[in-house]
Amino acid sequence: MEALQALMGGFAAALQPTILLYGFLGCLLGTMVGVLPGIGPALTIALLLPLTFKVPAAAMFVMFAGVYYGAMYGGSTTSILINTPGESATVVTAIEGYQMARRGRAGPALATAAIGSFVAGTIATIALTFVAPVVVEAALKFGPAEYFSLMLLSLVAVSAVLGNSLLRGLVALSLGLLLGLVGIDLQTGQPRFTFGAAELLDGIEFTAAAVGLFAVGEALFLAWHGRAGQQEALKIRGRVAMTAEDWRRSWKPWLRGTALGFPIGALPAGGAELPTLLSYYAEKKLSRHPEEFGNGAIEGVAGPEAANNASAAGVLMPLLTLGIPTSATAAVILSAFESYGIQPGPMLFTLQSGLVWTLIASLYIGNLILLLLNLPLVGLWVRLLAIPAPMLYAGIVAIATIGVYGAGNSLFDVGLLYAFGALGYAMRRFDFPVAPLVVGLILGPMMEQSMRQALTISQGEWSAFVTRPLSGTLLGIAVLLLAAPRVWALLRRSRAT
Amino acid sequence: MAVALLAVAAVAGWQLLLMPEPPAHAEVGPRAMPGALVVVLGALAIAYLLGALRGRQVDLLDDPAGSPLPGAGRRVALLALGLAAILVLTPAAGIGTACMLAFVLVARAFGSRRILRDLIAGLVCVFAIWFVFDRLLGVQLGRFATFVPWP
Repeated sequence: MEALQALMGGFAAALQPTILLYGFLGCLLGTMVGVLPGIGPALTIALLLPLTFKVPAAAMFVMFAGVYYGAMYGGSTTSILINTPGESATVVTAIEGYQMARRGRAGPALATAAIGSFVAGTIATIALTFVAPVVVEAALKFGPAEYFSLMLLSLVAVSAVLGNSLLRGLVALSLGLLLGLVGIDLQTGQPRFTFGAAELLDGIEFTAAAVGLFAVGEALFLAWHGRAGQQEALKIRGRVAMTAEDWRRSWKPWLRGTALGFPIGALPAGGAELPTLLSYYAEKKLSRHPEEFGNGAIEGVAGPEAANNASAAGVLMPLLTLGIPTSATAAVILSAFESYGIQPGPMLFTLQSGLVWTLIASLYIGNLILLLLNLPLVGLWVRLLAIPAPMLYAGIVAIATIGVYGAGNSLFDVGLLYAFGALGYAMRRFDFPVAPLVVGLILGPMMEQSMRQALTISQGEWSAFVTRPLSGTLLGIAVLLLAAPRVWALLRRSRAT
Repeated sequence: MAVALLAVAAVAGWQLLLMPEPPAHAEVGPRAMPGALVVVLGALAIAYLLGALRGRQVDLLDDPAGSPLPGAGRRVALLALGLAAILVLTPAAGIGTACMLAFVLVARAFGSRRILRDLIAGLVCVFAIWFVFDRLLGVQLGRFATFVPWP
C-alpha cells in the first residue's frame, strides 16, 4: 500500500509539464538511437551526462529512462526491416522479424513488437514497483563485506556470461577495474596510476571512457571494416496492425517473454540478450507451428520483444535498490547518479524517495508515449535509415567530441576519448566484450572502498568475507560461475572418452 | 593484443612500485587492490598470449566472414587524421572549425567522395550541435570559430 501511495506521488511529479517534456524527448531520442545502427542507449546517455550540471535530477533521470526504453522499442524496427539489429537486445527479433517482413508481413511484425513491448514494459514496471521495496528491506541489512561480495559476483557474472570467452571477459574486467582505480586514493590521498598528470588526479572522466568505447570505437571499427551502410530497408506493405489471428498467437508469448525478461534482467549480467534468446527458444518449443520458425513466426518476434523490454525494467531494480549496475547502460546511469552526488542503493528509497518514484512513474508514462510514438511514426523512423553512413558516423564523431569537450572544457579529455576509442576498436576486432570494462570502471572504486571498510571492521581478518553467511554464499556463487563451465566441460569430455 | 596487454600490466606494475609504502595503521593500503589486479591482469595476459600462439584467439582479420574490405588501413588513417585535427586545431581555430574539418575526413573514411557536400553538411551539423550545447544548454564550448567575430 505504501508503495502505491508513493507511486501516486511519483505520478503527480512525473506529469508536470517540464518533466513530461523531458520524458517525451528521452523517448524520441531513444527510439532514434535504437533505430540507428552503431549508437545505443549507453552511448546516448553517456553523451547526455554533461547536462547533469544544468538539468534537475528528476527531469534528467526521466529522460534517461525514456532513452533506455525507447532504444528497446526502436531497435526492433531495424531488426525487422533491414535484418540489422539496432541493439544487441534485438538480435533475436531479426531472425523471425526479417523473415516476416520479407513475406510482406512487416506491419504485423512491427505491431506485435511495439504492443508486446508496451505490455511487457508495463507489467515489468508494476513488478519493479512492488518488488523493489522488498529488496530494499533486505539490502538495508547488508554490511560492507556483503556489498563487496555482491559487487564481485556481479562483475564475475558480467564477465563470465557476456561475450564468447571467459578469458577475454576477465581481461576486459581487470582492465576496467584497473582503470577505475586511476586517481587519488580517497582514504590516504595517494595518487595512483596518474603518470604525474594533474588531469588524472580525479580519476578517468567516465563520459570520455564510455563515449570513446561506444562511439569512437564503433566508428573506427566500422571504418576499418568498410561494410557500413550496405543494407536496404524492406518496404512496409499494408497497415502496421495485427489481425485477430496475430493477437491470438502473440499474447501468450508476450506474457512468457515478460516472465523471463524481468527476473533475468534483474540478475547480475542477466541483461537483455539472455532472456530474449531464452524466450525465442521457449516459443519455438511451445509453438503449434514449429515449422514456421525460421520462416517468419510471429511468436518469435512477440516473445523476445516482450523479454527485452521487461529486462530493461529488471536492470533498473539492482541499480536503484542496491546501487549495482548489471549492464553497460546501467553503469552509465549510475555515473549520472554520482554526478548529482546521489548514491543509489537501499538508502535511495528513503533519502531520495521523490526522485525514485517519479522515475518509476515515468516508466509507465514512457511506455505509453513509446507505443503512441512508434506505430504511427514507423515510416519516419525508417527514413532515418536513409542517412548515408559517411554523414551518420561523421556526425557521431562530432557529437561525441563536442559532448566530451563540453563536460570539462578539456582537450585532455578529448584525447582520452580517442584513446578509449582506439581501445574500443581493438576490443571489437579481437572479440573482447565491452560491458565488463565499463561496469568494472565504475564499480572498481566502490568495490575497493567496501573491501577496505569490511577489513577495518573485521580488524584485518580476510576470513570475514567467507564466514559471514550471506557474503560467503555470494562468493561461493561467483566461484561456481567461474568454475562450473570448466568442470562441466571436463566431465563431458571424460564421459565421452 | 596479447603484447599490448602485457605492456599494460608491466606499466601498471612499474607505477605500483613508484607508490610509497602504506602507513602502518591501515589494514589494507592503497596498493593492495591495484597490486592484486596487476598480478591478475599479468596472468590473464600470459594465458591470452599462449592461446593466441596456439591460434585459439579471435582476430576478425583472419575471419573470412568478418574480415575488412581492402583499404582498411587507409580508412582508419583518414579517421585518425580527423581526430588528430580536432586535437591540434581546437586551441587555435575553435572547436567548431576543428570538428567541421574532422567531419569531412571521417566522411571520407566512410567512402564519401563529395568534399563540398560534406563540408556544407559538416558546417550545418556541427553548428547545430554547437548551438544546442553552447547556447541552449549553456555548456561552455568557447567560440565556434575563433577567427570569425560571430558567434
